[in-house]
Amino acid sequence: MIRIAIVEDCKEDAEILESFLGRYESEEKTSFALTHYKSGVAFLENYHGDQDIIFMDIDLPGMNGLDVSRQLREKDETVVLVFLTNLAKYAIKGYAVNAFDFIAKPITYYSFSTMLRRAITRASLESKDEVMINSSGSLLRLPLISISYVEVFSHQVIYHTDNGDYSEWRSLSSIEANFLSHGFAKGSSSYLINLRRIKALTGEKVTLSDGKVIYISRRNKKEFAQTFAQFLAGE
Amino acid sequence: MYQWTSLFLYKFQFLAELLIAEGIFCVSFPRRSHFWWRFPLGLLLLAGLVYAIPIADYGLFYQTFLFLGIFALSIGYICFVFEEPFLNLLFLAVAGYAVQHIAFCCYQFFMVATLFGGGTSLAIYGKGITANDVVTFLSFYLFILFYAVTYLGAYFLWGRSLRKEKDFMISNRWLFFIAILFVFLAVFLNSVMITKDTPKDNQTELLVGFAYGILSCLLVLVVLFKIKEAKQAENELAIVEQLWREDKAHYELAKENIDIINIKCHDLKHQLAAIRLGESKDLDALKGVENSIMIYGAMVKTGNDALDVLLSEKTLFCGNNGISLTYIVDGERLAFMSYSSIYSLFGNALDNAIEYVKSLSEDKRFIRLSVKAQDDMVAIHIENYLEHELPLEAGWPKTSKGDKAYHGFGLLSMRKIVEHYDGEIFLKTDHNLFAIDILLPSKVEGSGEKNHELGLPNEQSK
Repeated sequence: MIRIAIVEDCKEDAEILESFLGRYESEEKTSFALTHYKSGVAFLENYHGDQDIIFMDIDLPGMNGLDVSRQLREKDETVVLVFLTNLAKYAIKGYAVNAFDFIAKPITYYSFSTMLRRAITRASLESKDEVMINSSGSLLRLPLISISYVEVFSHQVIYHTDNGDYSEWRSLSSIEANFLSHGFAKGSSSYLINLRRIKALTGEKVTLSDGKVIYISRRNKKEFAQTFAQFLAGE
Repeated sequence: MYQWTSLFLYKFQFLAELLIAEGIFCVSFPRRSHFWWRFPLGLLLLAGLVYAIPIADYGLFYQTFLFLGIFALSIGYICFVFEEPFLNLLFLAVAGYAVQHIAFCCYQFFMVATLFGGGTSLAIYGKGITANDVVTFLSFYLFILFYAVTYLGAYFLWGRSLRKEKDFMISNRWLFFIAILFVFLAVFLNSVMITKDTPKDNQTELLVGFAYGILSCLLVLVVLFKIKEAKQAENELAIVEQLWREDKAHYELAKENIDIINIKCHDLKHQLAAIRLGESKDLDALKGVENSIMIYGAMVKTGNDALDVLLSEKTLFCGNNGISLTYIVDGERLAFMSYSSIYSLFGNALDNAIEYVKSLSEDKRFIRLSVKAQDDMVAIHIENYLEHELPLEAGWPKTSKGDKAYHGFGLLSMRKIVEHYDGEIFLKTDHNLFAIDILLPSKVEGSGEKNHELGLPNEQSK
């Protein structure tokens, strides 16, 4: 179940959006939980980090969509945010509130459905999942996005996080799939790197935001760069 | 046939000389998967095959066959280890053989000219070595010296340039074929000399022969790298042509846009006149004026001048062709690129997309562009609706003849620009979307501020 909020004051536009979502549900055999807000203020009052995708009109009464988004980002940095507008130029700077993308009105189904598919993929990437690890006898939960990179070293997996390193006895391949579907990419047979933490990628050299340098393997280089490019672009 | 005579041993020495010479040229080319398995295992197999070639005869034709046979096996080995079109690998192998032959001729020229060690340097082609140990050792060091100098020289003159220009093609296959023949001829002539002549009796003949070997192989190398470079000049010409065509198209577009504005201004004048005279119902006329003014809403501010001009123009054009062009652009982060690069890169991408979606029904005409940044990296993403499957070949569209002229050059030109900035470009087709992803290192220090001011106009309230 994908949770979607619509923040839109115009009744007709909201109805079109809802009908498109309904069509997508039946065509793609998925289901949505929809919440509709008529103003940004009402939305902010009720938002508790419990949505996957938010469709936000820019031209809202009272507080406009960009201002609402700025306050939203204080509560939730990662939720997938899609703007709706009939004045395209106001959305150009959507990157400043980490907007995923925007849709120009009048909305057409093909434009909407192709973007929604990407938004859903992105939402699953940004989900606030945690990993359970067994580090020297104690079980603990780590939010996936708090891990900057994972390294395998003599049959131990080492999780490098903001609060220090944790290790446990297991193979990298046993955790790989989970990490790869949450915004990590495989740098080599012994590294999984959190794409959010990459400061620079030049050739085979990855520099993380904390200054740590990791060299990726020649074989993984191309795929790694492509995954990273698509991640940055919001795919 | 399998006795350990010096020629039998020399097979392996020759193989080593050849592989190292070929390595000078191949080293920076893309390797096949499991390279570190292929490399030693292939080498083992190659040595086995070379071992298996019998020394059936010490005569002229058999020796020529022997060397060309080992050369052919070495080409097979290179193909097994490196991932490149066959012709390109053949090119590198021939260049390698020419270098090996130059080194060989230089060394032998010196040995014969000085009659070092009593002129026994050619004895390796016989059944046994007769020189005493000191001379053998000295000539070994000389041998290493000559080969090292020649190989290093070849690397700096030609091998090094291949590092940057991996994407080459042979422009003139006839010349390539003739160059190969020249190498074969040099090898054959060499066999003629070493099987017939002895250093003491035929010194002049041998010296001329080795000098010929050196010069002909040098000529081969010059020709080889000429026909390789020629291809790149052709590529560049294609880009220049493309840019020229674009400028022309650009002019026509700009003219069309000006015409649109002129027509709108004309309408505006008449609508205002109608309101003044009270001829039309005010509401309708005002609506018309509003529509006419909307066209100026297309002026774009992204934080990058080149992109502003381009996007303003494309927005105008798209608006008049029923195409929805939307973008989220952090234009300031493109400051490291030249205006012409930006104009050309984005212009090509948008033109390709516009050209394509124009052929679609109106509800599928959308193009989305984003420029987003994270620390030192910038990602450009352009996507449009894709009606039919577009098969990609090695990450690049298989172009049908018809659209190669347009699409192909546009993409080629984009790739050149991206490579110029040490970036990567990827194409993706998936679920009715065609997407171009470009990753660029921005190299700009200290421009990492995250929260840019939003350029939101004040007249937002309804």
